[in-house]
Parts: sequence; structure tokens; C-alpha cells
Amino acid sequence: MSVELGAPYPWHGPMWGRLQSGWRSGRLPHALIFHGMPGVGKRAFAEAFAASVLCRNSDDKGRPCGICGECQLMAAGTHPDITRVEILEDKKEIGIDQIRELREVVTLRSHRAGFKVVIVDPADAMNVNSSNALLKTLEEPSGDTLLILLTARFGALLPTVRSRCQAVAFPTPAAADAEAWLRGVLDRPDDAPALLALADGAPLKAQYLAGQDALPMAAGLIRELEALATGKSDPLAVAERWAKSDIPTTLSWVGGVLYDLARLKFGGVPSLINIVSRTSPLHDFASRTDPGPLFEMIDRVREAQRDALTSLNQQMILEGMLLHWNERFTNMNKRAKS
Amino acid sequence: MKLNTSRETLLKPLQTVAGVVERRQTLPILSNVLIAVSGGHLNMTATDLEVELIARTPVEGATDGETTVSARKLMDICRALPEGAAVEISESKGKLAVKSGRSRFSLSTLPVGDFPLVPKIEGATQFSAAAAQFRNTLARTQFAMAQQDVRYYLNGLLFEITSNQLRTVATDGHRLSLCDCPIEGKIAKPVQAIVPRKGILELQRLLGDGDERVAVTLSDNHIRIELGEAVFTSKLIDGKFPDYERVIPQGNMKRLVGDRETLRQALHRTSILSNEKYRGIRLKLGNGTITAIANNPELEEAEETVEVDFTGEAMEIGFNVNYVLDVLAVLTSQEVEMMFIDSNSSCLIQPRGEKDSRHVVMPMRL
Repeated sequence: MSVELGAPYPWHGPMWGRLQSGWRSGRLPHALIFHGMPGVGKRAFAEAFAASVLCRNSDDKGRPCGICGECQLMAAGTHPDITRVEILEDKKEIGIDQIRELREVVTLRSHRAGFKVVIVDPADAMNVNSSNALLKTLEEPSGDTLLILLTARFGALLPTVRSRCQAVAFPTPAAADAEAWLRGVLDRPDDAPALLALADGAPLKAQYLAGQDALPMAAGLIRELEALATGKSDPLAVAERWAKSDIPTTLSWVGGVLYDLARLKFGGVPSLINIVSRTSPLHDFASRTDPGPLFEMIDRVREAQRDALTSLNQQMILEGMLLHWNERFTNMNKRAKS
Repeated sequence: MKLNTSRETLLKPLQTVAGVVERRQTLPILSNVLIAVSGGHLNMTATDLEVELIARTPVEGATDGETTVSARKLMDICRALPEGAAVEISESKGKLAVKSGRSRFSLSTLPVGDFPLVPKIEGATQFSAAAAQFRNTLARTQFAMAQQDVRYYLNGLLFEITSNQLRTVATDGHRLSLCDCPIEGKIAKPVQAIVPRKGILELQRLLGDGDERVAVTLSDNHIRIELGEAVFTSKLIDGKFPDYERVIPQGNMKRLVGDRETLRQALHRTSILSNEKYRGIRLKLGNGTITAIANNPELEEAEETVEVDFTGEAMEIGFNVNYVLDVLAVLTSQEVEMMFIDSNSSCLIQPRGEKDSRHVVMPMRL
């Protein structure tokens, strides 16, 4: 496991400064929740902060020295005083046994005579039992312990967990900052705005998407949407193809396009539509349709997103949504002709 | 690193440390053993982050060096070699070569710097004790340690060190055992440390019957015990042990003296028909006798009377028989003393004629 040792990402600046000064003056609570959407660098921040806390010679900015024994062990991923609680392979949750084990580790003195750091990622993967098992530790850990809980769904944590920690919000960085950083790391910097749009503004997610050939995939989806809108495509065949894709991503992207159409209609600033060409039939559709049917279509995406998390037949969920859309598109096309 | 030696020289230290090699393997390097050759000694180190074990063996004609390699695989290879076989191990380019006869093995290694060793133990309290006494002290108390209690400071054994003695104390909230052991060393001020349950169990496995001495070093975070060829290090529990002195009954007590083995056997027989879950047993103390009575929900009953030395007012008291049996089993004296106040107060059990160990058992309302 490689660990990010360098300074955190540029948009973390203010937060890093605040937490570091809290740490240095001993005002930092022993339990923190980092919350924010996926891809804003919560984990990297937590790892960097842990490295800074464990390093014996970190500088006044909190940068670890990189040469002491602690830093070496951190770099090798074998530091004995950092415990990471994650979802185990083949599991969907963080189970109570993992928390019980953690409890045992936390009640022991530290290995290297420094601090003990615990990172729970993602904290919302704890079920009710494991969350409850963690309460006692969160409330009163033994000395020199720092617990960091990470989550993209702050509201999904038990109130009893939330109330025992100090919450640190990780906002999505300003578009300009995110784009500036993303341009620096991409092979094709000009893709940055489109990728950021696909990633809902989260820079690390955008970087990840760049490696996944996300832009061609998104373009393909838009072509499918256009074909649907002009009645050139069979919704059932589309559903079959989409069922083989990563369904949550597909839904969030096509949903994004519909949101943009709605924004455009009301004179807002669209984000995803930038990757839809001006001559697309979707623009045409958006300008002619009533808001009502458009919002109904968006509602169907939301429904499908929710249903996709259950054990319902995924292809049938998509079929239901696409047949509904098809009806809207067809109605609109008929009206255009008459 | 290069080393020419016999299969047995490698196997013995490997087997000593293999017990702590992490089975769950949260970190891959924890399944490795650190092999270091320096100054004519071969040191093998294994850790599960809670307990670290080092086994030392003298070796001849070796080139210094160190590396880490899978403990399980190296041990399996050594085991599978014929008895008394000569083995050559050497490390180069991230591989450890093991040669013996016509067998050749090449094992992959991980960097030594990545191995989470316990750093040098500083600011320490140091003392030594006779191995046999030390082992005895652990044996007489460790059974009373709590297991996975939320009061985490009870899931271990308290080491209390004063100028010339080590006292170990264990309690799970229902019973308490303490035992003293004479030590030698310069103790500046009394120190308390709680050694976790797992470490104590591992330590007991290591302590042999020999009459050598063990050297103990205690820091804020660790306890290190050197026993001959092995060095045991455990983390300490980060907590404060309760004030155990208050639990030990004192003052004017009714005293019963009986033959330990006779009492143990009688209680053991009676306990067969006690409630399997609560293990309750009633003790009736009369003039010169103690009667143990047990019954269970199936309305079965057992009763046995033992002659003892007791001349107080008659009384009746209930116990979890397992707690009493545990104590009687670890004591070695011919006779035991049991001290009672009344049927609602704890009972103190101690070997007759020895002052070094005391055991408190809370009564049960039956």
C-alpha cells in the first residue's frame, strides 16, 4: 500500500493550516469526522495528517521530515501505530469484529512511543452494531489517540457517532482551483473542464475518470441519448447495453445531462452540456419541451438510482426508465411534426 | 548476509518466534521473520504489533547482515529437510537463498527498514527475578484476568514493582488474585504497568522450568523480558488499574483451615450437579466441618462434608465454584486458609504458611 506523504492538495490549504495549528496547540479533539463528496481528497488528507502527527521532526507547516524511522515506516505502509479500518474484501460493511479488534488496539500503549492514529474509511460503512461498539472508544479513548472518520454521507452516520466527533467539512474546491490543479496532472490538459463536469467538480475523481477513458464513454452515452431523442434507437436495446456498464456512473451522467437541459431552459449555467455539441438534438429537445415532462424524466433517474442499490433486476430498472423517456421523446417529436 | 549452519540451529529459534507471527496478516510484513546476523549471533524477530519475540542463537563463521522473509515458508523448509542437514543461507538482490544438499530455495524478502520493530526502550525500570518464581507468580494470578471486558484495564495482569518485590494482580470484577515475587534491581520509585492478556499467555509458554534468572525492563509503553535465548516484548495497556487493596477483606475474620487437595476434590465432585450456567455452590460451615451443597434446575443434588479446622459461629455462604476451584488448583501448599466475614462478604483464600499469594472470591446469593 503506498501512502501519500507529500503536502496535501492545494485546495486543502486553509483546512490543513487550521487543523495543524489546533494540533500544535493541543486544542485538537481526539475524534474527527472528515466529510465531503468522493474525490476531494479526504483520505489523502487524513494520511498526510497522520504522517505529520507521527513524524518526530515535522516542520512548522506540519510537513513530515521523510527521513526519520516513523516516516520510513509510513512510506512502507507498515507503521504500527496507524490502524486503518476499511471494508474487508467480499464484505459490504465494516463489521463489529473489526471495531472490537480496533478497541483492543486502541487500549494498548503506542508501539513507537508516539501517538496512535486510527482512520475509519468509509465510516458510513459501519452498521448500527459496529457504530455502537465504537461509541465508547470515540468518547473516551486512552491517551494519545487520534481517531479520524471519513465519510461522503455525513447524514448516514449515527447521531451518537456524530455528536462525539468534531466534524470537518471538505468542500468541493472552487472550479478554477480544481481546474488549475487538474490541468497540471492530465496528459491532455484541455479535457480538464469536461472531466471536472463529469466528476461533479471533485478533482481527484476527475483525475481517476481521466484514467478510465471517461470522456469517450460519456460521449457514447450522449450519442445514445440523442438517438433516443430522435426516435432512432430502441430503448430496450439501450437498456441492455447500459445494464452491462457501471450503472451508478451511467445514471449519474445521463442524469447530469438532463439536469443541464433543465438549467439551460431556465437560463442557468450548465456544466455537463459543455461536452454536448451545440447542434445536438438534445438542445433542440430542451428548447421545445415543457419543464414538466423534463422534470418527470429527472425524477425517473433518481428513482432508478435508488432502486439500483437494491437487489432488483438492474436491467429492468433501466428498461422502466428508458421506456418512460422514450414516451416523452416521442410525444415531443409528434408535437413537432403536427 | 551469509550463514552456514545446521537445520536444527535454524529451526529452534524459528519455532520459538513462530507463535506470534500474525495469522490475520493485516500487514504483509508481519508474516515475515526478521533474520539478523551480527557479532556471532543469529537473531530472529517476529511481531504481531502487540507482542514481539526475539530468539538468539550463537553461530560461527557467519557474515553479518539482515533481511526479512516469510516465517511460515522458511520454517516449513527447515522442517522438511532431513534431520541434522547442513544448511547455507545467503541474501543477495532481495532474495534469500537457502541451500542444503541438493535442495535450493529462493525466497523473496522485504526491506528490514519496513519491519515495525519496537524502538529502544528508554527511561526504564530494570530488575531481575528467578525464572521459577516468576513463572509461579504468573501462574497463580493469570487465571483471574478478565477477558474482553469493556473495562479494558482488567484484560491484563498488573505488575506492581516496589523496591524489592514484584506483585502481580489480576481481577475480572468477581474475583481477584495477587502474588508476590522477590526481585533484585534498583527501583527508584514504585511502578505499575498492565501487561495485556495475550502477552501473559505467550510469556507463560516461553518460561521454562530452568533455574536461570529473567531480566525485566519496563518503560512507559513496553515491557521487555529476557529469558535466556529469547527476548519477549509486549505493549502495555493504556489505563489505570483499580485500587485492588480495598477489595481484600481485612479485620476480624472467621478462619477455616483445611487440606487443600481434599477440599478441591470434594468441591470438584459436588460441582458436577451445580447449575451449569451459574456454577453456584453453597458452603455450610459448622463446628469442625464444611459441607458443600449443589443443586441444579433438574432438581438433582450433591452434598459432601469435609473435616476442617473451624471453630467459629456456624454460617452459610454461596460461591461460583469455578472461582474457588481455580484458586485451589494453582496453590501448592498442603493446607489452605479460608477467611470469612459473613455470607455477604468476600472470602479470602491463601496458602497456609505462605504469605506471598492471596485470592479473593466474591460470594453469590443463592
